[in-house]
Amino acid sequence: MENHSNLSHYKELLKLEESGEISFLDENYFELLSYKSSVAEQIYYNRKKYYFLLIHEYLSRVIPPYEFRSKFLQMKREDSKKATIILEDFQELEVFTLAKDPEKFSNLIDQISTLCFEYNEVWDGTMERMSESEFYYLVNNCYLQLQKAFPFENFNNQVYKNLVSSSFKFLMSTIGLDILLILFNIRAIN
Amino acid sequence: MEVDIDFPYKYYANGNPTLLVPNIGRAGNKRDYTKVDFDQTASHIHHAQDFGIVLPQSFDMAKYERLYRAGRIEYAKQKLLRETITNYQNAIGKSMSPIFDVNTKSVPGFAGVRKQDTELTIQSTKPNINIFGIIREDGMHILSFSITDDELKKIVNNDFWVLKDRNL
Repeated sequence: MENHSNLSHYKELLKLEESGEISFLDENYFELLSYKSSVAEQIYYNRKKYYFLLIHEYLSRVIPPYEFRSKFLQMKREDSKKATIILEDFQELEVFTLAKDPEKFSNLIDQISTLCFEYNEVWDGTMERMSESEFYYLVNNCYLQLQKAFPFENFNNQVYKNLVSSSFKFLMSTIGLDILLILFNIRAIN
Repeated sequence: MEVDIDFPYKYYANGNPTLLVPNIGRAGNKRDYTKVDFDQTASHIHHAQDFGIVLPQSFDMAKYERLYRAGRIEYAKQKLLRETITNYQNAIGKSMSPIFDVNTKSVPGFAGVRKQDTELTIQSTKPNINIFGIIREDGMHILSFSITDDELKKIVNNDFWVLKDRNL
């Protein structure tokens, strides 16, 4: 993680915007947009566990497709709102840190939210509608890319690790109880 | 009409109004108006909340989204007041007009896997809220919806190419 070093430049751009020196969609506007986007991207990245979990739940058919699409878009909207609040708070921005590559995560998440959006799109009636199986396949593709890019967040691995860890603890406590029982029996015999 | 319409309009044979919104596109675009059609708007009512249009509780969005275009239009007409759809048409028109917000621009863009020419409009209304509109090459408004700053950045980075993988 590194500090958000361009805060002073962000303030300069905001001043330019307030004084009307930045035109909508000009070069400075995009620079400002880029700064604002980096904060939103970091917030998505900070919640990557939840994104992974939600996608995993859908792919494992724990939640139905409609619920997945609605929850995914909602989660992204909520995170984006958080970014809006942070961007208005300079004290918060002062200590806000960026990961090395939140944009990569954000791009993959954006691909899924685009799929969720496009699933409901009908254009002018001439567009071929996406089937549920196509939607599943495309989300799964993104998930595989996410797992490859962020292996430490692999939800399957985490579940497996938790299972191994709890089994080991259970085994150790059973062995411990057995030893105590044997000692107790030996003592009773003596 | 039950509601005021903020733009010139004309009635089609089915009795529904099509708004004629002055076109702000430049770059070789000779059209005077962008058409915001009643039925086309009714088929995209799922974006109405992005414009502050409140839908009644009896409107089953999950059911609506399962329908295709003709079914959606029929369901919207059945469940909504005519003025709700017209209000939404007005809101779309305003989101493409600089007189309602100076931060309104039009850019040439593309849509679909075959990269159809489109006109895109972007209106930045509040922090992190941008209303994004897609207009077909012949001037028919297709849809408008709200996008965040990071989503806008990604559209810019994609050279204004939307619905890239869809067969339109």
